[in-house]
Amino acid sequence: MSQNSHQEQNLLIPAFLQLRGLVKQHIDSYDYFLTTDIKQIVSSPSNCCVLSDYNPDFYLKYKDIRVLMPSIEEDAVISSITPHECRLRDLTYAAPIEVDIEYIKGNKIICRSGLEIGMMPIMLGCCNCVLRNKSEEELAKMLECPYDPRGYFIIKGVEKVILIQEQASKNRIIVEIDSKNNVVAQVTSSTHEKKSRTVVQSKGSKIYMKHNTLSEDIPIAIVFKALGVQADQEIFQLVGTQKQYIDALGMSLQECSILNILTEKQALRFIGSKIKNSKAAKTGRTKIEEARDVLATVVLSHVPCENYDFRAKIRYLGIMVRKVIDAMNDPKKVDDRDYYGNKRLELAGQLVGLLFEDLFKRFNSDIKKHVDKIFSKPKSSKGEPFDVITAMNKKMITEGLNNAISTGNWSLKRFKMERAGVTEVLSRLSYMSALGMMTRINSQFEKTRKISGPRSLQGSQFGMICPSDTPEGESCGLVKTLALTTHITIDQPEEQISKLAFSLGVEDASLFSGDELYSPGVFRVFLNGQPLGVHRDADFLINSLREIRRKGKISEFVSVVKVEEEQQIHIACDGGRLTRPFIIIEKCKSKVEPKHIKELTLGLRNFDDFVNEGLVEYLDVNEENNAVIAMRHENISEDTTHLEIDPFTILGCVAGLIPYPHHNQSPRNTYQCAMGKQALGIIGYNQFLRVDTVLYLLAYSQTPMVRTKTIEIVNYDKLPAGHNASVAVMSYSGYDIEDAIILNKASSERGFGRSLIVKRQNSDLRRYNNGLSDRLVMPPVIHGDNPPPSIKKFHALDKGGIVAVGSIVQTGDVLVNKETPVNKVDDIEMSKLTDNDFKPSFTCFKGPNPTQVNRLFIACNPEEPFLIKTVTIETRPPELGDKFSSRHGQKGVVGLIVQQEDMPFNEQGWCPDMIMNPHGFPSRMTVGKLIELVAGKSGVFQGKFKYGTAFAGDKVIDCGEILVKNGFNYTGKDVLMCGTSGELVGAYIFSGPLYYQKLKHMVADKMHARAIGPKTALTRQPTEGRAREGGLRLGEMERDCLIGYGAASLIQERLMYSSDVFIASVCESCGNLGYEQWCQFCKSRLNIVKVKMPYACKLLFQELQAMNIRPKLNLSSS
Amino acid sequence: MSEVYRGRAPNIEINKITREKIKFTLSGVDSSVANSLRRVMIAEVPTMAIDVVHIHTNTSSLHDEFIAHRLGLIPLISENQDNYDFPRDCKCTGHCEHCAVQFRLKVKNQEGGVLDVTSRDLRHLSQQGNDVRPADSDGPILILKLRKNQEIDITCNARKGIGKEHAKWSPVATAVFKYTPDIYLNQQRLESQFTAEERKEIVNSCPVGVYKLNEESNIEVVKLNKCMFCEECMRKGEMIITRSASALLNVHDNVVRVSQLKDRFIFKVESSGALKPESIVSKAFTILTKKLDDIKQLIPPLINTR
Amino acid sequence: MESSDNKKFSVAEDETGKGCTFAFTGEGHTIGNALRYLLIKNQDVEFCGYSVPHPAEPVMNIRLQTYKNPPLETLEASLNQLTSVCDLLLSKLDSKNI
Repeated sequence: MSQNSHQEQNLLIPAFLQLRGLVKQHIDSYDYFLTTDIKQIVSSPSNCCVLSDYNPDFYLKYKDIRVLMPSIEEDAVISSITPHECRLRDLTYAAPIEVDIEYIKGNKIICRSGLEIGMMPIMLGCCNCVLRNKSEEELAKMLECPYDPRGYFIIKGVEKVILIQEQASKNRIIVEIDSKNNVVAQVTSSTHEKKSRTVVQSKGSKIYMKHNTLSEDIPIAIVFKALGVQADQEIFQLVGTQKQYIDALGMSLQECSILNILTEKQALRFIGSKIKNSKAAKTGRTKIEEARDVLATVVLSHVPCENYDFRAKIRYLGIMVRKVIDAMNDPKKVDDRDYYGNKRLELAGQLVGLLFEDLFKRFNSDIKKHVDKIFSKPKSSKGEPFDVITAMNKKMITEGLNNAISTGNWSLKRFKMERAGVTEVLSRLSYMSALGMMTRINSQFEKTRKISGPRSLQGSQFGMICPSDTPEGESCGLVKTLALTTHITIDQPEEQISKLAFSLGVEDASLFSGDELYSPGVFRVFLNGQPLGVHRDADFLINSLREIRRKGKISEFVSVVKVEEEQQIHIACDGGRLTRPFIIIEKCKSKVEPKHIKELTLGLRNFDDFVNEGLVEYLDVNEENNAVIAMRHENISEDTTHLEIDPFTILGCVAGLIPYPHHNQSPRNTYQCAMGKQALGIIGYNQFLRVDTVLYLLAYSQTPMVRTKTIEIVNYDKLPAGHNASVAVMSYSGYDIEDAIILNKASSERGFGRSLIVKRQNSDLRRYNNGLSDRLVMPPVIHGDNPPPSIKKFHALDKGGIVAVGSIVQTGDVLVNKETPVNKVDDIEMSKLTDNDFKPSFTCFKGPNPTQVNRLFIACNPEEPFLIKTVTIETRPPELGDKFSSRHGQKGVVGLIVQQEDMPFNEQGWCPDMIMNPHGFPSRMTVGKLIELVAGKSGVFQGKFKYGTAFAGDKVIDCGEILVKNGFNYTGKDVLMCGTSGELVGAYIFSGPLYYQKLKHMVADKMHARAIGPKTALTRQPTEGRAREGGLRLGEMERDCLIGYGAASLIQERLMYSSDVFIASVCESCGNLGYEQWCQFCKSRLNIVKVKMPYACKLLFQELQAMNIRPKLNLSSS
Repeated sequence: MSEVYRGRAPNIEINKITREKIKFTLSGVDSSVANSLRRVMIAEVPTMAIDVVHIHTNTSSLHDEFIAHRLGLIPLISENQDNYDFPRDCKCTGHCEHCAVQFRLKVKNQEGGVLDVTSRDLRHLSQQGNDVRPADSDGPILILKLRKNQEIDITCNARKGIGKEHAKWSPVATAVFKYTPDIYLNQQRLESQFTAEERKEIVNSCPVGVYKLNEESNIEVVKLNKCMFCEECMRKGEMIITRSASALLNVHDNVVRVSQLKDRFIFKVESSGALKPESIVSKAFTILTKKLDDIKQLIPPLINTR
Repeated sequence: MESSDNKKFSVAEDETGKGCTFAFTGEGHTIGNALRYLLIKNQDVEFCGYSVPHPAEPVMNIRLQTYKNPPLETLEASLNQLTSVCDLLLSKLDSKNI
């Protein structure tokens, strides 16, 4: 295989991304929920029927459930909607959920189909969305940008994303050492019904089992006995018969005899006595029965147990004990909690599925309550027989879903889940920030804990999660991003796999005794963490399963892992595993040949064909342990099993913006990942049609000269966010110290760095309960040139009372001249309304600078009858204080704007747009930036884009040669002449094109000053925040500095006289606060003195007084 | 004045004039004077450009300020800008025929498809300002594009100004000068201490081909003006002899020495279309003289008060 | 921000009468550097330098110290020299142009 085929292999990656990966995870998981999972929820035995306790004949059965296409019902007319319409009109993009039911009404059985029980929010791009599979033209007709990542919801006009949640794998045994240095094996069992945690713990040399339902730790031997293993020898055989096991278990078994528990019944009784919140008395069961129930259903609930057949549980428990003993003897056997093989990622579909299930259950229990109420009362013979449809509360499901997604609070009573922050508003700062948010992973660890384990970079993350893209600060390492070719699996049905495994020779473990289970050569087979059986020829099973998988007979996402030391084979087909594709290597040759790639380019083949024909395979994190993977063709050796498609895919899409990232110091790449999401640019093709609260755009955005393969795959080259600035790297004028940048005035006047700020203000005319509503009023006529300010603020309005498009408004100008009725509650005759019944409540323009009104948007939606949105566009050229950054974490603020003639120039007349200080390079070591400049410069002469793809990219030597051919120096340094004097600058200056981004932190949004201003009502202290004209806080640490100086008067001035000084009247005799020369306690005017204190102090005293504590002031004159 | 220059009087030689560019050589002056000339050409030669924009109707996809910015950057032929006053000097309030030229841009796309609105659509409002028009003889300058039923109706005033105030008034695309190279080859050392091979290496080290090896295998300068002062030849020469690049510090005895002539400047001025290139240069001199005159006038009163 | 109004030019002399600092408003490196060069060429000039104190303000200072003649006259002489250079070059340009 030659170099060329290696280059062409890359074509697999865009093919992969078209099919899976990036945003497709969200969409595929939601598709699964809408088509499969929702049906499973409704048909599961606990949900499908509603029965009544009072009328045994009554039932309500759900036959089927469907979600239709998105629509909205207005004035009894149902019409389909597009997502853009929802964004503009503040609607929710949702589709009706229809069920087919069968129920009893009176004496008859009635079947009803197509009954709507609520509205399901639809994720954009999923199978029920109108945007699915539409061409670019059709999308344009619906006013959608074809490059919009989709995968988010629109709730009441706001775009919400359900972030990917990362959590530890369920139903797996994790062995770790707890804070008391005891070895602990935990299993979090989670099924559709229950969720609980079982712990097998060693205390000293004895082993116990712990569970929430049990008030005390139970020695493990007692548990075994309760489960039916009466003989001690059997226990040994289950765990292991080697010496270490016998020694370790010995003590525990002694416990049994100490407590005199020898039989199953005794053990069950013992456990029954330890159950918390025992309901034995109420429901009339004995302790023994209850204990048996607990063991069957609550403890280790994910292990199947039918009819109290505990054999599977016994084996499982035996495995857990064995693991604990192994870890006691060899500390290295402890599991790594942060290993990605032990983690699962939860996607939108699963989370909404849980929510829907909870809401559906509540819906049903509501119906049940209503039904019970009806049936418990004596039946009146007259009137219509009761129709259960009237009891259905459609709003419950609709609003439950909408509220959960819009607030991000997932509170499910059944699973006892209270999660906050599950959803976020999709960040539309730039195209990259939207895409970055769609690939973000949220970890469930709290941000306050300091353990470094979850935050640090894990080896098993390689290729699955981007190593550079994580925020700085408190969520560093907890919030991660997916790499480019990662795919998250979806649940597959288990029976098919287990049947296949059994037919391949897996023998049921119950046929074996404990000893035989652990003999060498016998491998225990697990499916999704549950023991399936054993197999005597591990390689045969593994190779056959893999062959079958490569032929496409079972799902490509099933993983088969051989763990040699433990003698285990793990088969996994559950959802939420991270996998990624590799090329299969057989006999030192790649199975993907040039002819396959050719067929791919011709469109005859897509990525799935590669997988189904066994050319490409998905490996998850665990299976990677069994594979020997070559990075490149040259590294293929004899035992190589797989080949990476391309190494640059270890980075995510935001890190893919960086050219030559492999030449940069790695923290710089991380900083760029954060800043690339704040760069101003083009949001999407429909950016001027959107009405967002704030949109930051760049007027003349340019596509980068030096790009990477990721940029082209992700379409950043079509929606770029920056300029190719001509940069000279030199010290100039001294105003460029500490990373400041010097800008060319003429360049900025010609459009460099010019940003557009698009803002929106809402105003709505509400209707009140008494029938009155807000109204629009004609503005007063303005005469003359200098009207008083109270009239002048109406200058922008047209006759209808709404601002005229194109007028320039300032702070305080009225945008919508609205009046609200004074009396919103009482009924008033419409004809008797006068002007006095209304008071003005106009919407004013808020914003520091005069801006032009660009668009007006008037709409209505079911909640607000008249909605007015005003869109203003402000154009901001760059000024001193605006923040710019290159793509290598080199940020800086504009320090000086210099005339073009003062700028250094070369002999062809070129002068830089921007001057960067060279002191930014030595400590930061961003060599990638130097190479980007040379590559970009050579690309300018050739007229071609250059590539700076990670671990590849155009070579500096080649770029140097091109520079030389065009008459420039191969180092990228030029001879420049100084603009102020005309003489040659004494050194060669490194100059060329660099891609610079303008970041959203602009000085116009931040500059703030206050001398005296508004004060808070409660504490009479200066307000906080720029929007409220607030003051700057002298915080506790600053106060400590002043104390250190001994500047007592300064402290008093800052903290009292300039803030909330208050002259309180205090009564000398009783020490209480009085007012205006009167003491209420002494009831006299005498002895009142004036005391200066901060108002907050006086407030504290009054609050204490309200709690019956008397702060008595003892005064003495000084 | 000539005593200042000790021998070489200031002189200007025009090398090449085209419709857009002029290349001339200025000699006998110092770099500071040449630079002053360059700076005046970029920033202080006045031209006309659109400065005030009244928008009556705009239903296009670009907003008002964006279009106004683009209109300002259109270069207008301003050969007769002497006839107009600077707005601040004109005695009128608002605008008049002495300080502004009015244009109207009124286009509506009625047919469908995409209609390009270009500088050719700018129409004068009165015959009088006809000489000031967009410099688009090379091709129309695109202002914006309209979709079906979108229209714009704009009246704009073109006023006189200089580049210092805004880059739209700068008449040059670029105005630049460079020094003439002065190459000294120590032929004696070259013949004695270097082999023919090594001399060839020095010739090849030049990226732009300034040198050539002649029939006797000696180095000859053929393209003097292409030298870009990269000093590769100097470095190569020293390295071959001493195997160390630091020998360059010894300036007196270099094998190859590249320096600049201190009083000979090659100017290249490319016009944006607003003025003819030779007009730019002569106007630059005029303006420079005027600036000096303005200062000179302020001196006598001060001398009198002493 | 126009260049020709507020053109001021103030002089600050020192005790010797032979040293002066001229402060120009509205001029910058364009005039400053050229004048400085010509002043230095003058034999009578002991010291001459120019600076732009702050890039945001359109102020330019020239400091001149002479041996014999009053500085204002020396300045006037240099201005005349520069004017004549420009005139000469302009006439040569016009003649070659036609």
